[in-house]
Amino acid sequence: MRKIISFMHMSLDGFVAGPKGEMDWIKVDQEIFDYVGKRISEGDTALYGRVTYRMMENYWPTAADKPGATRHDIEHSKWYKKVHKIVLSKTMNGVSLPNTTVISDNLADRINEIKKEAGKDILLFGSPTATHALMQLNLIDGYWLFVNPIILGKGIPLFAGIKDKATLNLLSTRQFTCGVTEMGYTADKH
Amino acid sequence: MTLDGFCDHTAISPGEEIHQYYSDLLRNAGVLLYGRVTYQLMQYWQDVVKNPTGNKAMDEFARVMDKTPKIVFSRTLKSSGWESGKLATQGLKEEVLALRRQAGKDIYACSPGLIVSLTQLSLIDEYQICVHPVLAGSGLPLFKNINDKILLKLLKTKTFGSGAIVLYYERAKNV
Repeated sequence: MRKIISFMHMSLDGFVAGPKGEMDWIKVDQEIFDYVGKRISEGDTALYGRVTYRMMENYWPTAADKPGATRHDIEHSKWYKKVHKIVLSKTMNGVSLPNTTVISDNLADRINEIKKEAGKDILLFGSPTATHALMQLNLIDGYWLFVNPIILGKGIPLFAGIKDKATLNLLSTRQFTCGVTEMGYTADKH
Repeated sequence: MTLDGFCDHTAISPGEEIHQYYSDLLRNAGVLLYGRVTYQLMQYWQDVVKNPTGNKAMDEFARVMDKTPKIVFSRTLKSSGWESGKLATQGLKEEVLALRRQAGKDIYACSPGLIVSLTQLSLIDEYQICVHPVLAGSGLPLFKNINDKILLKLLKTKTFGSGAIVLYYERAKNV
């Protein structure tokens, strides 16, 4: 079974955005881009909520063509255009997009079908609302977290609606020069 | 702390390596500061000293914990009930400022409430947060009632075999 891995930048106190969705506190640099780029480029499918998907669509398809495009822009743009995209959205129901699957209902069944298909693990990019929906259905198999050196105090939490205590396995951890700590986990399912 | 940000000693299983790590930490501690609830939870270790468990790392931790000086902040306790413990005689801020002025080893704030209060007073120089690979789902959040962003600087991390990670931060100079 392919795993669904929640890929998030978070604060030390577990928030993924400020109360108004602020993400200006998130530290990313070339060191982090290179590190995450390696894992991302191995994937063939990406999972998004509607809001994050719209943000991605507005940026990545043309990011490589912009003046001053960075190496990260060029590489990720190329990957973004070819990767199969799954978008969780009730409002985009019936919308047909190339190389994109929109899931609007029967979330658990649809996600489990996708998990059973052959392929690599699927990264869920950001997308707190979609993450919470999947979390509540116990459909998230792991976390790939980039913990920022900040306590936000309030905002949108990563973890919400977890009913049962779960023990995770730590797979990887790494310290970045900018002060971010990577923590990669898989969920121990019994 | 669990990965989802709760303080819950029942959700985690520290194991030998982590007990050893904290025994070493306590040996080098000047004084431990507690609120009543965590203090009373820690009094468990007094019983372990009297009735050892047979688990070497836990029994050693109990012995070290039993000896390390402690100050408990409580409005209701009449006595500390622990030879190495004493009741705070001043408010948190005054007590901590006085302790910081004294020569000696580091002061550890060991209760979630004290960590938050001292954070609000800007009296914490370093955070050592041990993140356990557990999602508790609910409980007592470590960082609550923090109204302003706190900027930190990562000093180092330490990973245990159990998957717990200690994150060491100092308070960043606000720019």
